[in-house]
Amino acid sequence: MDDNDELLDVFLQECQEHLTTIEADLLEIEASGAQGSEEVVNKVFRAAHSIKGGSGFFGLTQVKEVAHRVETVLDLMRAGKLISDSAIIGLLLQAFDELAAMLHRPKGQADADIEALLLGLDQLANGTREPTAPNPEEPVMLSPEGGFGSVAVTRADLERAKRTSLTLFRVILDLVHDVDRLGRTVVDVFSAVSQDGELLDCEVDYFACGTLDDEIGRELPVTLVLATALSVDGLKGLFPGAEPVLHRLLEAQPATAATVPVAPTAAPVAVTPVAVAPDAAPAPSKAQAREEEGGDTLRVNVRLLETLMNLAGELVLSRNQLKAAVDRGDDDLLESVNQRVNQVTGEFQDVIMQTRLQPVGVVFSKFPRLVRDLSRTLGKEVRLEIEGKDVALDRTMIEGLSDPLTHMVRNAVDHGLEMPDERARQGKPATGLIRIEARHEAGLVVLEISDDGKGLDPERIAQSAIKKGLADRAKVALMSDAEKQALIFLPGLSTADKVSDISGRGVGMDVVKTNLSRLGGQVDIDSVVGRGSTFRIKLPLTLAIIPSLILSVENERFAVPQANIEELLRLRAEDVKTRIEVVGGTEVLLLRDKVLPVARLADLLGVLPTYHDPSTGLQEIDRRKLGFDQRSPGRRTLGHEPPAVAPRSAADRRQAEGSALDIAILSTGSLSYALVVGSFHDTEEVVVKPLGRRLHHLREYSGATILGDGTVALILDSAGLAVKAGLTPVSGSKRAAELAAASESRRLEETQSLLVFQNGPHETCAMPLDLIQRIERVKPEQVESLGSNLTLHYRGRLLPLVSLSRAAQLDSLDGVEDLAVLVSQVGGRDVGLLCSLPVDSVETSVVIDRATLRRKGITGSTILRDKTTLIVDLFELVDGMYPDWSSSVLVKAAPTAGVVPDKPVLLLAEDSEFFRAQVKKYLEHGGCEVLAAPDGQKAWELLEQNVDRVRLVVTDIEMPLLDGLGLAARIRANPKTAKLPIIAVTSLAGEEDAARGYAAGISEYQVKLDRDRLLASVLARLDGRAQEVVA
Amino acid sequence: MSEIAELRLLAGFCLGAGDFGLEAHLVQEVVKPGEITPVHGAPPGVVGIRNLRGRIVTVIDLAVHLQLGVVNHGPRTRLMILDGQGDLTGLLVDSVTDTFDVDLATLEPPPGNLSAALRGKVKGVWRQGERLTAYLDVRTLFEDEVGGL
Repeated sequence: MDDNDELLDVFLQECQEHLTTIEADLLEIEASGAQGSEEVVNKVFRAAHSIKGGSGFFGLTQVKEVAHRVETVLDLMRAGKLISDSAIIGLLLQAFDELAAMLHRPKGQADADIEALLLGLDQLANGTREPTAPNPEEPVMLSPEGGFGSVAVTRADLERAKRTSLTLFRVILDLVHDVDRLGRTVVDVFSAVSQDGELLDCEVDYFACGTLDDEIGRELPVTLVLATALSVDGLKGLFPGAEPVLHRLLEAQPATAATVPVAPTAAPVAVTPVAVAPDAAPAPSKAQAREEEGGDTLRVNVRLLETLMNLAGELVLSRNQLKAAVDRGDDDLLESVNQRVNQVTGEFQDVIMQTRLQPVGVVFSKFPRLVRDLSRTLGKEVRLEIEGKDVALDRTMIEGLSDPLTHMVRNAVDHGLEMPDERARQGKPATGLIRIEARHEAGLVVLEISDDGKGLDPERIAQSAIKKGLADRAKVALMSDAEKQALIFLPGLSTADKVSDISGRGVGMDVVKTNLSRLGGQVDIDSVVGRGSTFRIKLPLTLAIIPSLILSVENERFAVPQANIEELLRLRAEDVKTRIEVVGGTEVLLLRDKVLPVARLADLLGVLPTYHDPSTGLQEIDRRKLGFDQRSPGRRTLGHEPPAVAPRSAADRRQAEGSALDIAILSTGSLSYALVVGSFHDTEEVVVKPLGRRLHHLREYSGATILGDGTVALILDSAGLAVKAGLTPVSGSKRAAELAAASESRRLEETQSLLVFQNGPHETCAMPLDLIQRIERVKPEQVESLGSNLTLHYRGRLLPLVSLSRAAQLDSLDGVEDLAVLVSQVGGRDVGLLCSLPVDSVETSVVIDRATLRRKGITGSTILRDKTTLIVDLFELVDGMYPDWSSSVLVKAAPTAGVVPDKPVLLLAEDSEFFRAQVKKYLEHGGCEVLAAPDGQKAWELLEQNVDRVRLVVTDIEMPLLDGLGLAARIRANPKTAKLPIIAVTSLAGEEDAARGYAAGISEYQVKLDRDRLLASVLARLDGRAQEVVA
Repeated sequence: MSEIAELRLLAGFCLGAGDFGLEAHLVQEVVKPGEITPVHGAPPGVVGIRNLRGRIVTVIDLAVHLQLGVVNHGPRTRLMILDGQGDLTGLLVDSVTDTFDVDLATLEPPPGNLSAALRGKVKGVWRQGERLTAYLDVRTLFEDEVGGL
């Protein structure tokens, strides 16, 4: 049959599905020990059974052999004749590995060497047999009732049918008339019969179909041997429309206990595990290869497919409308079609993405086995906890994650956890814990692999790096512990003194890191010597479409993935000199307490500066707008000739310093740096396209994307750019340390980032930059008035707008052309604040006058750049305009309607008035009652007075009188308060600071000032969901 | 001499003063250069990348590649799109002339005085009166480069 290959694929895919769950099931059987879990044994039995059934049909004889024996062993187990132990489970695991490997390469399955395995399984099965008992594999000939010929059934199958009161049938179906012509497939038949019975054997009479020269339409009989509880009529009902020939082989035996030959004395059989060297059994990698190859097909939920069909219909409609609009030159229609297309493509994208998402559990599922096998080999005791299996990721990522995660789990078992006696000496439980967790966090997927083992010893890593010549002694001396630990990502460094065959397979953490960064991921380490290590991987949800910032330099546009951007800033011309210094020949940027190396994108890539041509009066040459054809000859050779102009002279640079600089702070995971660009444009969800093979080697680009206007922009790779620029963390140099100290003292004044915007020409307003997710330019006609509310058509949705003129009685924006919308989230909903341009950000330490200009929606005023600026309170504004948006997260979550639970009471210690007011507002908005104090001393007094009410403490670190660490220590020292969770909210987020904080009793760090995270964390801790980090 | 002429359909194009030909079936389509985004750091000859109906095309200045100068862009400048196993390459040429059948039997061997950049890349020369067309061998055209075509 032509579609036999296709059928085989379906069968193989089904087998794959069986096989993925089997490992976990077998491990569960092992864990439940002698009492056994009958249901699970049955499940595995059925899986082996259906593999056996199908493989017979497809002529996969070796597969059938193995599956059959596995089935026999499992049957003995469920009959209680064989008590499972780890040796048996080990052998079964091996058998299923072999099955997976053979099914992966069905064409080569006949070459698989399974002799030893079959022998092992046979021994296992035969060991339980009483010496006189007949061989269960021995065929027994049965004659069909009223039929011709005879049918061979193994004794085991026969016994089982007798024992379970099943009737044996021979069913002869014609594949042509009874199956194919009825629009069915063999797989349908298999699944029909396995619902109500067991398929014991299946054979196709290929000779009956004749040769190619015979006319088509003859028959192709297939003989099935079934064990079922169904009657003849019931059986016929399984094949509607078909005319199967049925013969009874064995009448069902009445079920009597006596017929079940239970042998309670049968001792568990000692099994000689089949000797296979660990290296010679690359089954997991084969299975994995199958996974990758199996990636050619994907199962998609029918509902999703239907949604896609509908959307495709919508698109066609929209295209027709578009054509009509263009033909008629109807601008109104064009605008509405535009919105429609926007909406449909947006939905299309979402649904397509859903079809690509797969649960990360696909990767996790192999770890129980891996950990089991490893811990056995190493003589360690390990408990594995897995959480968040359902977190979904793009399937390309799932595939790419397999190797790095496996390596990290291996490392955790091999190097992370100590031997049981060593653990006992340290007062730890003998069984080590390995935890794998996946969760969503701020639009990213976070994977954590943690162990409670010995942790990464920074000194040993540093020494090893120096010894291997990978790091400079002087530099290492200045490194923090976290930086030393991060050295394990250097190529060629392995922390184990000797390379074991478990972790040391020629790949190191550098490969892990590279692989992860290829997936757009970053990995950090959080490790305390003696306490354990946590590797935290942050991944974008998908590789195919990534939110990116479009920026340009000299009119060339580039995209930078948002995930790599820590922040964007603009240095005003007068700040450039004080904020950018030259240290050891390289430029560095002073940013709060950090000193970051600076790279200039134009110099790095060799982008030629555009010029002003006085003779023509042309301001700039914008090659994007001029077509290729009109370009001057000199400019066309950009790509392949050394720039005609030497890299910018010092004079040019000085000139550049005369104007403001737009800077993106990029992160590569281990390094942050400042990238000076020309200017920022908007953010877009870009579709990543690979570069051709000629450009593949360019590490500074991770791909290309097609922008809205059809032109191509390169996607910058932050890690590749850093390498190209030769950047290293500058924390090592002495001057850098001085600079850091200087900026530290400045930072103590605590600054905040504000976004300054206009409400019409006369009113300048500001709000905390952290609250704003995006800034969108809008045209006045895009804003619609619905009753008293304003909305904006935005990415296919209606975005509710807040206007300061309506909510806070400021100037009206009617007639203002340069409008923008600041998109934020309040109470989990998107909301936009309508304002006018220009929009700018400033970093300042403001003193807010809370009296003079205070009104609803306006916290107060301050003077910024000599202008009176109103500080907007977004929450109050939204409350005013959309009072029905229940603002309190906690109240909303309350289980009983109508009953408002007592608000949890929090203590907030924060010296900056601005931050105190902000954080208090956030927390109150989240449904908490907040007691606020301006320093640690006052906070402690407040806590003593309210010791019975306060359930959680949120504190700043740097405070007068008593700082956050002191406060934490005091709280921990007092038995009445020792158990209170303490969240530190701070701009000091260095790893060292964090370590000091944890030592003092801080439960968790939150970087100033991420409202949603803080709130989520507070709520989680109030729920008791999060575990105490500090024991 | 075989009695049936072994014909090859070539797509002809000009680079500078020279006439060249590529097997026409290798050329997926011929388009105007369009808007090319420069790729800084790219190997010599690679002008940049462009969008062709949602796919990224690597654009190569064939004149630079063959060390015959630079393609002087004008209204007749064209990109010949070649599909190398899903990897699209656009060859920038001064103009595309026409397609024509070449009898392999009448092909003359490449002249001995070929420049180093051309050596090994010309399968033969086809003579039509005064006009000589160099038949380029796509298999070796990008051989000296990592990956090839």
